[in-house]
Amino acid sequence: MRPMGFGARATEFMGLLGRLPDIVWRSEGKNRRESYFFSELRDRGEWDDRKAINPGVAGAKPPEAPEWQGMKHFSLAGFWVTTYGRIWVITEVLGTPGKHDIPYFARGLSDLILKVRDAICRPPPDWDPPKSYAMGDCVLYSSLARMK
Amino acid sequence: MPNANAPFFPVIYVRGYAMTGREKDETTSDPFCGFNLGSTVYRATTNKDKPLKFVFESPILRLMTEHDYTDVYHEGLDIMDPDWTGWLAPRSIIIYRYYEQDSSLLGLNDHLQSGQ
Repeated sequence: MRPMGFGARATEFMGLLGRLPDIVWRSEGKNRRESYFFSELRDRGEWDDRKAINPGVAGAKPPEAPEWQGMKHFSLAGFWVTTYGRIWVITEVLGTPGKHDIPYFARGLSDLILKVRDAICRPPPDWDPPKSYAMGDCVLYSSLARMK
Repeated sequence: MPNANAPFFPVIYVRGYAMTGREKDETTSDPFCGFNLGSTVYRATTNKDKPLKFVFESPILRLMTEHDYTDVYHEGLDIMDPDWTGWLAPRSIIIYRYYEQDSSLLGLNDHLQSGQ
């Protein structure tokens, strides 16, 4: 599995925001519970999509561990949004993991992404493999079937 | 080829920095690491001393109630627990619970052992 093109994924995520306007929150100062909807701020003219994609916003820095290599990031309303295959990884930027936490953080996240990938691709117990494959939800889903 | 589920793919949420041991334990104690918490206070106003009421249920609740997402917990187990079995729907919410390893409750409590 490899990450798709960054531009396409960023565009897709912005489209997702249009349909899932509340997927991203914006932490605003004193209390992390005091979070606000990106879309609603945007509707009020208080947020700028172009600025939101600038990684420099909010001083966001991506994790520096080698495991992050190859992943694509962009900052959005106080979150890092990473796309890995067909999985959204949304990282709260309001304090990224500290340097002492990064080694197991990155390693564990890689493991989790692989677990999610496998779990979402695993055929249900009563799945009857089709005779042909339309490359539906998951490429690996079909790949597993072809291996049988 | 376009994916029929796009853009409703699994969402992995990653909690931000928890500095102290207490914060790490609080994060570990919460199944959703705070992403289930909302707010009724809107501070982005011209008068910083007078916030407005603005109900934000939380990203988790809105994904579940308005967009048919579900969490992945099953019979008390998380997806990374050895005994977890099953498969995920595309509209799944996964919480990366990496602070467990560093908490005094469920982990190795490394921050105390190393004197940090």
